Amino acid sequence: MPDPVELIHLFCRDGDAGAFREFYGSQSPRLWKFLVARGVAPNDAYDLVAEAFLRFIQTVCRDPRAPRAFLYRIATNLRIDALRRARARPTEPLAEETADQADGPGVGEAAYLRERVARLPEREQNLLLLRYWIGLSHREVAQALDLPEGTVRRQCTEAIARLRESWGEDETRATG
Amino acid sequence: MKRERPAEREIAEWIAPAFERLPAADARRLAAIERRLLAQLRPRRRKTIAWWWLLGLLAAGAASALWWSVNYDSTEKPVESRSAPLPAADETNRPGPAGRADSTPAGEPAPQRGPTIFEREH
Repeated sequence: MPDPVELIHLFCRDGDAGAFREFYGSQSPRLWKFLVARGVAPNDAYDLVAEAFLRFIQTVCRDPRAPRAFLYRIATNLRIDALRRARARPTEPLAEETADQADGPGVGEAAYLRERVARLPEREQNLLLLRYWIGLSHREVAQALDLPEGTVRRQCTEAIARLRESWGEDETRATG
Repeated sequence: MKRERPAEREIAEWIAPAFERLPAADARRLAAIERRLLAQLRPRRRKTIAWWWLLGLLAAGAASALWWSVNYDSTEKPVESRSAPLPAADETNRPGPAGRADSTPAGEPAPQRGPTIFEREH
């Protein structure tokens, strides 16, 4: 997989549309999924992807050192506005999830984990997804969410610990 | 039935596969967005080229202005001859080998040049 920083460097230096296309191809499917995971309706997520990338190409060349962090920063800000607008509308149901994978959690556990993550505070959800799913470094997450790097490290650890503590809690309550 | 509580490291490792299971985006819609974005990029390049043209025109204008200022000075130089020593101006009126009157063909009136200077100086 090509280095996103290198691709954006080529795009900014030479106006290389091919480099941008490659960056877009590698980032847009996951950005769409991220927005859907963060509660944006699938149809609206396409509009947000378009808007986020449009703002991205207009401004990324001012400081192209952490393009993914910058892209997700734009997207998370747009998402807040979009959710505010869409609050009155019913959300579209998601299609069935993809088939079971060889490693990682099973379908049931994956759904349970997603549901547990969705119960966390907004900021912690963003932290966990950007760090452990999108794969941004602590520094990049800090840039994306406008937080100090130390805070990101600490809150990631705390959020994971909280997830573990609450694991199976509701079922215990329901049964006993 | 109570779920078995996984380790913290396991939870961190499960987050990515759990969210990757979400349905994928429609590739055609993402491709349509890509086309629109690439169309946005093209005018940006034309704009850059237009700036280069403007810079070129400015440079050419500056060079032209410089050239004219140098040439304007050189056309002013003959004025210096007006302050030339008077005897030399005087000689121009005299017929003879050094006088300018010799340069006009015989019979034609000599052009009125030197005397004006001479009269003004006196």
